Amino acid sequence: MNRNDPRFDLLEKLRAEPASPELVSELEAVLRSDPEFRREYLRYINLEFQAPAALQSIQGPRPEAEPIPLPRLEQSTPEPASPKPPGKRPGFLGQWRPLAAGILLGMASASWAISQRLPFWIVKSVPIQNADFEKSAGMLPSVFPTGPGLWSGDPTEVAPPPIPVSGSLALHFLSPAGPSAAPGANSCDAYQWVDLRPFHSMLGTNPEADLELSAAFLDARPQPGTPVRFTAYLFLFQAEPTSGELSRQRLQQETVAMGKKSWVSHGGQPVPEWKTLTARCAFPPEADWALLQISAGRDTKAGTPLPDFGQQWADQIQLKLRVPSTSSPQTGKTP
Amino acid sequence: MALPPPPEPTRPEHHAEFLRLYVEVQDSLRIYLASLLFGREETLEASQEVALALWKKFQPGMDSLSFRRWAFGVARMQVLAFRRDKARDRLTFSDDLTLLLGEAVEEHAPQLEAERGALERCLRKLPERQIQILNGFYLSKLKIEALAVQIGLSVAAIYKSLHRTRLQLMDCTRSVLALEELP
Repeated sequence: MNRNDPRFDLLEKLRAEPASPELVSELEAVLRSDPEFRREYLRYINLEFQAPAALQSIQGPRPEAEPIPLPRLEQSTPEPASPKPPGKRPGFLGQWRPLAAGILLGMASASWAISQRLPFWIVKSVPIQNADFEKSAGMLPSVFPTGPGLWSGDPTEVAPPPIPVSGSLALHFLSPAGPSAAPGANSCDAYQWVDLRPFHSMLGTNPEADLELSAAFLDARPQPGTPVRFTAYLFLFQAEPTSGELSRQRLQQETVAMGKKSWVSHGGQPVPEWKTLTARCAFPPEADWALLQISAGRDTKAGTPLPDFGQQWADQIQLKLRVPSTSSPQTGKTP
Repeated sequence: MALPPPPEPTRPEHHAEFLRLYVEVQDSLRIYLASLLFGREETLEASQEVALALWKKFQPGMDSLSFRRWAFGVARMQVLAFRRDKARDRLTFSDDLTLLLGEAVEEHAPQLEAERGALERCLRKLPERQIQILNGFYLSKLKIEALAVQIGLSVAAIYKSLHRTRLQLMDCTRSVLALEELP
């Protein structure tokens, strides 16, 4: 479509001046009459929404903060900054928790958009047990995890991938039909709980902190096949996973924020390449635990059948806490 | 501030199911809402209202397609209510066009999603001056007047530059995606 088409000027006017009934009426007329222009209109809007994140992404690596020493989980568990006595949690959300989660879901994108204006982030890695799967090969426990520091879930194993991304071992997706699978499960999932309480002290009063989960995925099928949707999920909870009476349903009820990033692969690449996905979500102060879910499964959006498993892999799982700062790390002044 | 009464029932056991379905459609819904509401702030506000409305009315057992269609219908009604509440009914498209735009978002959702990846590559090709203006507008959230002072251009020139850059990026993302589709 010709960019000199005067109809595009209407879109500029919508940005340059408050919408008026006349402008809306004029835009309606052109949108009604031309499906191609309707598509261009949606592309224009899509670009507007994607621009902040894309611009942020091309600015180069964000500066890391001075490292804050934290003990590795396998050595000792760090003391929570402000330990809360068992059973004395502030329950101000109460029955509103599911509703609040819905609100937070919407707010997460708003918070992310708002945070784009802050150019400096304090970034801190959150320890994940066996994040690179290099500790030992073998099957992971086929249970839904009830405590931190352990990968488990649907049938998965730690094994040498055909193309290593780092080290010699990676997570191998085997089947969606494990004990952790919900009825009619469409994916093979591995989970790990992570204790977030030691990081509350970094939040301060800043409402715009977020968590960023990244994971590398590989579809090693030599021939194109049924699409596989790889997904990195990040769920935040207030509930303690180790509490005996906590069912999976109750944990789902208590989700306070979530993030997700997915990629659909058809396989058949001459040289399969690892692809890194990054999911983000807001880090509200009531979130004490993160549940990481690394998934390979059916492309439910496209309605395709369950793919064959056996050549899908994941590796290099990382979780980062990002706290926006209005001060430059170098100068201490707002840039 | 007192909270309004909670939706009945809260159905906690269905919350994860709802979240998964909602996350799948939220980007498309946001584009749809933006196409009907024009302003970024209004769109964010309406997105939150739609998320709440969907959760309150959610019935479990829907597949992705059913949920998507239902969500778009709810979003359409919420936009009408949103406009009415703000006494801005006259800034609303007709029902026909509202439906057409919803269909177009659903039809083009995969392409719109793909354009997000292409956008980064296209931004890297822009001259520094254009990136400066985009950064000021989208990242620093400067008002056009402040941006004009900072860059040293007139307000009208900034609007023109932003508009031209957007169209340039649309052309670029289209080309990038077309190249990727080549065998």
